[in-house]
Amino acid sequence: MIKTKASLITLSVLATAALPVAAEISPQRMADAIFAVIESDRAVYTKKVVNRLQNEEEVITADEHWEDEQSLPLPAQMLRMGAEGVAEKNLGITYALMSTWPINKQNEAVTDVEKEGMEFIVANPSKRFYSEETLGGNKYFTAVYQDIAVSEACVTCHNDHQDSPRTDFKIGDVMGGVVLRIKLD
Amino acid sequence: MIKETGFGFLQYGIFVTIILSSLLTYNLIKGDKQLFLPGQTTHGHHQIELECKACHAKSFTAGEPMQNACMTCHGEPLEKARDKHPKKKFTDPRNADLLANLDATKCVTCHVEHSPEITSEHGVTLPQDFCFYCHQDIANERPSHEGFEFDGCGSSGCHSYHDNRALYERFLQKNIDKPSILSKRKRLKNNGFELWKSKNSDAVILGVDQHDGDSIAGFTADHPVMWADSVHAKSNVNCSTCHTSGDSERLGIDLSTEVCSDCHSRQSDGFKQGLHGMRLAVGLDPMTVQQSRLKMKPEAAHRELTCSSCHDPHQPDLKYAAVQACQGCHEDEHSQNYVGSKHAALFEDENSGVIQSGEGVSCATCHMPRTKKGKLVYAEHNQTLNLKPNSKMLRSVCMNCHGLEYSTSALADKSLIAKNFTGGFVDQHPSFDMVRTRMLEKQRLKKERSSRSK
Repeated sequence: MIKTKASLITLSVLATAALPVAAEISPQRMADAIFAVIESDRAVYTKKVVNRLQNEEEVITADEHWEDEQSLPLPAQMLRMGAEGVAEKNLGITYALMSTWPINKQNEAVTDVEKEGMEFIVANPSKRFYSEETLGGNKYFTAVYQDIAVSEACVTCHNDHQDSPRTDFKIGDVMGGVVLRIKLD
Repeated sequence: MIKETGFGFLQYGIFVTIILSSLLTYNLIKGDKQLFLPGQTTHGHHQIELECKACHAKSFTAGEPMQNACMTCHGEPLEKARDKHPKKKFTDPRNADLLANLDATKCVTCHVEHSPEITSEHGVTLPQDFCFYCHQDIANERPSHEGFEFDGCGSSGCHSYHDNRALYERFLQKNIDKPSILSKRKRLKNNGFELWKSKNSDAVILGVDQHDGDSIAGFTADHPVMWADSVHAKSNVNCSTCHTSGDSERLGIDLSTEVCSDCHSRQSDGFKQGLHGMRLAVGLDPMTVQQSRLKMKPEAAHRELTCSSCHDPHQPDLKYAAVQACQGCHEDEHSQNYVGSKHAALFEDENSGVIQSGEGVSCATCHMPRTKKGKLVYAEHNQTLNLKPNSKMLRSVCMNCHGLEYSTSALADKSLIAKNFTGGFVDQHPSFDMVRTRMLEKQRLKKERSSRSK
């Protein structure tokens, strides 16, 4: 009985692995889908964890040095840690936060496509930017999405930070962008 | 003559090749592999340099497998140090241009082995100004850094490529302007035995007559007497627990570190990750004192490093292990100057009951600091975790008793370290002046912003 069960499981696994691909997904649709996950998770963390506990219930703060301060990681750090985890899986998918007004200057737009994309999404807050670029000898589909201030926690922190080049952010403003790349074969 | 014997250039060549090949093959397979070392290794690796496989998984291994070998030993310490430049930060293709200048995804970019002629402090083989590659515009962001030479970024008390836990700006701000000696000192005491007792309240305390070691090779009547007074007897650890457990390797008196690790796993793991026990971690014989590159006492040259080198299992004495055990081998200037130092005087005061337990400063206080994990406080036996760069010591050791600027300044003074912190020194560090300026600037900005919002 156990043997039969095992065989059935093996067969079903093999069947799944051998499933013929009926349709291909475009890099743009895939990028949009991945971004939807990133954006939703980040909004949930920002609103339901950071903003609720820090700004509404005032039980714990969120802090850049969260390990030393026994506090919550900032939403931007949460996104970055997730991105580093994905990068370690070596799947050909990477994403990063960047801004025209970064607190850490290392997070400015770096590549020509990023610079073009940042300008585009700030000038067109309801449109997304898509392009292709070659970096380090590899070709990438690159998408740039608006990173919007979703709660008081975002604007307060950026407006009050000593190193912030812009201090007049309001909820709903485009504060920066998420650049997402898919390596093209 | 050569023509007459028929032994020409070709024959000589073949003969010499066979001799050389045999010599090399013998050295590789049966010998110590010395002939295959392409150059002297660094202070961190020299103990295991003849265990080629530790880094080169297979012959001529480089690239990813070698990087993995680096991380096998260094991954966990880097994680603990909150590495500021981990590989995962640089694999994003947006960094491709930066990586073309300096491939920060590989350890060997900065740490090339077997190259003593280009190796500097901390095993770095790049010119000291390598920060320039990515941070050349730093003065735009931090005007205080205008005119600084890039070969000084890593100066003690400024920055460290991997470990900035005691050097980042907010940490400096929080701990600025503290007195040189804190009025309230942090004292951690080992509590493994107390925790064990609280969980094993019904455990039998063994008396001198209850030992079971009569038949063990090398047994003398002194052993039970010493043992009965030890923590081992108080925690129901009899002779047979260590010497005979059915495992033939344990039948004799020559016990390995593995026996101790059954109960003292944190300590033995740390020991094997550190400089004293790293040979054991790759399957080699224990280190002997003569293998060290530091100045050691000639009479200690033959000694092997295992747990019992510092801890007599029949009479564990942590006071002995904390100073005398170290002084029995180490003979460098810093070690010699411990005797007569203020720290040593405090340790003597602690031992004679003048000050409280934990207030004295032994060799182990700084180099095997008490570490807290949950409720457990134990001695960290991996001394490399807080050894180099010496700013690693600030949080785990110095700041338990001293202010941060005082400690940072002391660690930046190499001659003071050699004198074992005895004598005067400049107890100010330029990093803190920069932080003071930044704090004033922050206050000014805050005022300006609040007056604008009114």
